[in-house]
Amino acid sequence: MRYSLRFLLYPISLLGLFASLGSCAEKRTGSQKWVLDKTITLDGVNPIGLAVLGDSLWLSDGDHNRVVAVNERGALIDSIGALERPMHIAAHQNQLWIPQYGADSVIGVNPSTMAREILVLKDALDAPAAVSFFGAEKAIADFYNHRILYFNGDSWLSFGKEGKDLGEFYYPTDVQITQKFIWVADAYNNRVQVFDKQGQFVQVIGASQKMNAATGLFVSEEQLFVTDFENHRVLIFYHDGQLAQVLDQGLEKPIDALIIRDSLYVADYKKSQLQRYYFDR
Amino acid sequence: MKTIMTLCMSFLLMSTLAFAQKPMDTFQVQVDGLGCPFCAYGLEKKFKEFKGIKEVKIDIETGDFSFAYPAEKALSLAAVVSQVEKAGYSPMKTVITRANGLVETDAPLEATEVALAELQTKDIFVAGNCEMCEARILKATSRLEGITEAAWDSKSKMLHISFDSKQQSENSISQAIALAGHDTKLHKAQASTYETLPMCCKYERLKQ
Repeated sequence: MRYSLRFLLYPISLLGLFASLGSCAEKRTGSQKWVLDKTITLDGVNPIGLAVLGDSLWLSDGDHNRVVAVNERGALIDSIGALERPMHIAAHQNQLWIPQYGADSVIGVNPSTMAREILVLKDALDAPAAVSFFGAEKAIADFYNHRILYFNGDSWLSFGKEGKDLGEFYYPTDVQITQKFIWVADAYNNRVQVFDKQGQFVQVIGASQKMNAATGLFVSEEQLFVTDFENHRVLIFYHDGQLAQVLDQGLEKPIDALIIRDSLYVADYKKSQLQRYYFDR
Repeated sequence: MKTIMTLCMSFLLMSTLAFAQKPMDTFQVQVDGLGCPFCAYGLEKKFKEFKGIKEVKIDIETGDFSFAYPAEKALSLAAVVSQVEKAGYSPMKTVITRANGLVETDAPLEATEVALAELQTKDIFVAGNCEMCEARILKATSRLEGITEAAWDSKSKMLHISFDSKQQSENSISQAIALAGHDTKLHKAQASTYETLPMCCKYERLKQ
């Protein structure tokens, strides 16, 4: 799902800063909650991962071995095929980065030229489920190996092993790098774990929420969005782990989330839909 | 020299053709409960690891899973069912079309005759998480004699089941479900069975 956060959040933060400067004296009248704005039906697409490249919203469609770009009405405007079960994708510079769960590889594709590049790794992957970029840093959720591979700009680091204890994983399905941390959807331990950039455990989030497969996550400047796949809901936390909101209306197997400009998009795998929300300030 | 070259080329061509025409059995398995792409693609991926397997296809929406396997290996129906079950899935129907045209299948169970039965309906708590759990629980009950109706709800965790009380009881039904890996209030699944469940089915164990 990962858009290079710097890329995306800087303009948003600047806009937010100007907005807040201009409205210091203004009274907040909204509910301070995310509110459903629009349901976008995707014909023949079972979305898994979300990413924004340029002006286009891209979705991985693992069931159909492709990645597609859609417009605001959900119509397909571009497609990259001949993939093997693409999962949680990321956009970085001019490329879409696609973890191929069925091929144990991560590839970069430039949609303009369709040129493909394989991410060369020394370690063998076993079903990569997600990839994230942050400047020169990159991370991969290595599903069947129960670990995260992280490149800090100089060298690769592997952390985590199969288990239930803090710092261990049970089938990680999504990962996102931010300025200070690495956030991991520890799917079948039903929680999110946060690590520093040396791979040291920092924090666990959502462990008491009785999630049933925490399959996808997105981290904004203030909040963490987690898709609770089998419970058909999205949990929204503050970064300290406090629960802020639960989105549970009209969702069936949500699998990823992403903020584009000021809107939150949730990919609904089962219903072949995107749910779009706005924040009621 | 020309003759030798021709002979070599002919031999190579014949070998290639023989390899290309290697007789293959085709397997079609109807798998229930493929609700989670990570699990479904995992099943596909794990089967692809079998040496000689070809044309592995899985349709998540219909649960149709198919592949081709060298006929000389004579992969049995029971072995396929066992392999799918070992991967944590519930094969509902398997059809093998052998390279020689013979077809093998495991016919679905016929509905139980209940004319003289003493029907009873119960709601039984069964631990589980997802659609794959549902398929496994229902399959465990469908193997029992005297069951006329069964439905399990993943939210309430309740199994609504009708059965001939001469043939089954809440205890025997609970026992069959526990053997398949799901805890009930009367019987707990063995730890070794629980451990074989796929990741999405690892429910919170009941305290007994």
